[in-house]
Amino acid sequence: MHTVLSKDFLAGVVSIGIGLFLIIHGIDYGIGTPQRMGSGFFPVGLGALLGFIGLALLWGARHTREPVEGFRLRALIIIPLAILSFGLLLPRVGFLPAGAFTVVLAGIADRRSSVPTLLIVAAVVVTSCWLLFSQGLSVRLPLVAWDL
Amino acid sequence: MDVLANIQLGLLTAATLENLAYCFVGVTVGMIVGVLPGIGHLAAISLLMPLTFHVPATASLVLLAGIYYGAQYGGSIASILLNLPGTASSAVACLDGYPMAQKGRAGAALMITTIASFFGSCLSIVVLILMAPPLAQLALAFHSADYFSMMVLGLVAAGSISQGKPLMGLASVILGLAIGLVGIDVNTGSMRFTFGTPELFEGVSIIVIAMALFGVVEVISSIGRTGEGAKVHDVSFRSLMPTRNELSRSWWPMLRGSGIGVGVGVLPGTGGGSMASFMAYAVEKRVSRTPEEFGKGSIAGVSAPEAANNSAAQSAFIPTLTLGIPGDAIMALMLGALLIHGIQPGPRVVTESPELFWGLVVSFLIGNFFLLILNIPLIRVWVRILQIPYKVLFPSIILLIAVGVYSVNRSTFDVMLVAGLAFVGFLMIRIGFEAAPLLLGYILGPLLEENMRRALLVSRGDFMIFLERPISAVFLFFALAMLAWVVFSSLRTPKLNETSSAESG
Repeated sequence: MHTVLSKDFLAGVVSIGIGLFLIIHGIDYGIGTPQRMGSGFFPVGLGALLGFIGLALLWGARHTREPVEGFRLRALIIIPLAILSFGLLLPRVGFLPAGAFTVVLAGIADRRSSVPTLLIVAAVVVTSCWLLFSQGLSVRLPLVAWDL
Repeated sequence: MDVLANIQLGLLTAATLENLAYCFVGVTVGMIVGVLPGIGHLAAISLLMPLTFHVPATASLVLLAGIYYGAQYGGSIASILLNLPGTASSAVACLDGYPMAQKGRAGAALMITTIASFFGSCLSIVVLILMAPPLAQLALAFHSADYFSMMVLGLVAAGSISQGKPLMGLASVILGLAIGLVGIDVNTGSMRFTFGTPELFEGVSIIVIAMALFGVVEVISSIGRTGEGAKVHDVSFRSLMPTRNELSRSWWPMLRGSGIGVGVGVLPGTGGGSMASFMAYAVEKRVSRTPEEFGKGSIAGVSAPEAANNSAAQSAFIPTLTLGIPGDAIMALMLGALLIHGIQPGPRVVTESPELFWGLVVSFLIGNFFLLILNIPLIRVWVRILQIPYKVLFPSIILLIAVGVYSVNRSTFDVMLVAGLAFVGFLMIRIGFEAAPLLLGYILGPLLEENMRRALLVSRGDFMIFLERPISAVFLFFALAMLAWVVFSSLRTPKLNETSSAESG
């Protein structure tokens, strides 16, 4: 039962998948000869090695039943989303709103946090980040912008 | 005489006001981040990598290195007072440090830790000063085939001595090598794995990878796990003084620990302190006349691993700077900083940028001295920092990551790439892939391909060149031996699992 979703089985499948991906694209780039290696020579080699490791993992997975440990889906979704929103918001609304939004959104990845506390944290952190990067390191960071 | 001249040059470089300031900032920040629970030194260095774009090459290495060994010091504080290791290497400090704190000897444990760290670092720096120039000289004679094989050995070692399964470590190395391919192939001018995205033409930035895999992934997995409001043992100034007995029982363990640290630190794939400190602890327990005290607050169990940990942290720079082969992910980040500044890592660093090399080495000494004076009087401040709740900390870290990545190239694409890589990376780490070997592969990938290409060009496509050159053959032999061991042990473990599950079932 568990065998199908054991860590090694998944890792094996992923390795083989990436290995094939490297080989297919590598062949496209042109393998060349060993003396004059094409752009695809190295990727194909890597893909083949990764594929072999994947097979070995699958072979080993026949016996191991180590399941993937559980994790907090909430954090896994929210944290990357917070970073993504910073990238999307920064050029459109400026650093102040984008930064504050990122801090608050990231903060609610932990259930125990409350929005008012996060707003205070955001105020402090956004200000100090702006001082550090914009004033200290002279990175151009528009405080507020409106360009949708 | 040469040694003296080198040290003089180093002093001249390191003692400029600018570099002194960066060294001070580095060790202080490192110390703070090391103390903070939930942020390891890898995350700390990744977090602060963008800063290095804005300062000169020497200063940036001084800064990063300062953060590194500063965090080593800081990590032991959290371990001793809270039983919360920030990193694998400071986990050993919990074993006897925390029991000492429970017995009311937290102050003494911290003091011994500080002394042992300083002692271990200094011994290692001396070895670094003596060993680096001849090693670099030797490596200058290397042919591209030798380089290729040396890197293969380094990568195989990094993959197989990883924390998890060796097979997964190797898969991670190869994945890293593949990520290193993204961008323009300098030899043929064609694009690889860019899929028409102009932002990828110059490859995936090391900052993006480090931030995603060490910064964000660590935050995601720590959320909700790190306890809050932990009780911290109060440390009074008076209790810092170790008794005469405690001191005298620490000297030999410190010396043995430092020796082990130096030895382990220079080996490829083992850099960083964790293996060194575990080994030092095991050795100390073996040679001790009172092994039953270990785990219950033995002073030797604190001083030996701590000395080993720090001396390994310094000696890991030997192969990194002289051969261009990083022993662990942190050293890979250091090499990344060099590359950012257009310095090709390798034996030429010592001869062609002597002020950088010797300046860095002397800054180690100065930085360790800073730490010695920072650590003790400010112990109360560190204890206070320990109490910052993680739920306040991590949103701040996330913003720092986002702005930091953006600041490097003013690229929102990079920011979004971090988000994507962190998501995928987290899932892949869950199924057994590892971030550290991946980073090593990523750093060495382009060099590996380049040297292979050159070697094969010279030999007219004959792969035998890797075996005909004796240096290369020796490296490959060791790599092969290591692989054989990996295969052997991976064939054995499933059976062990089977018997253990049979026993429990």
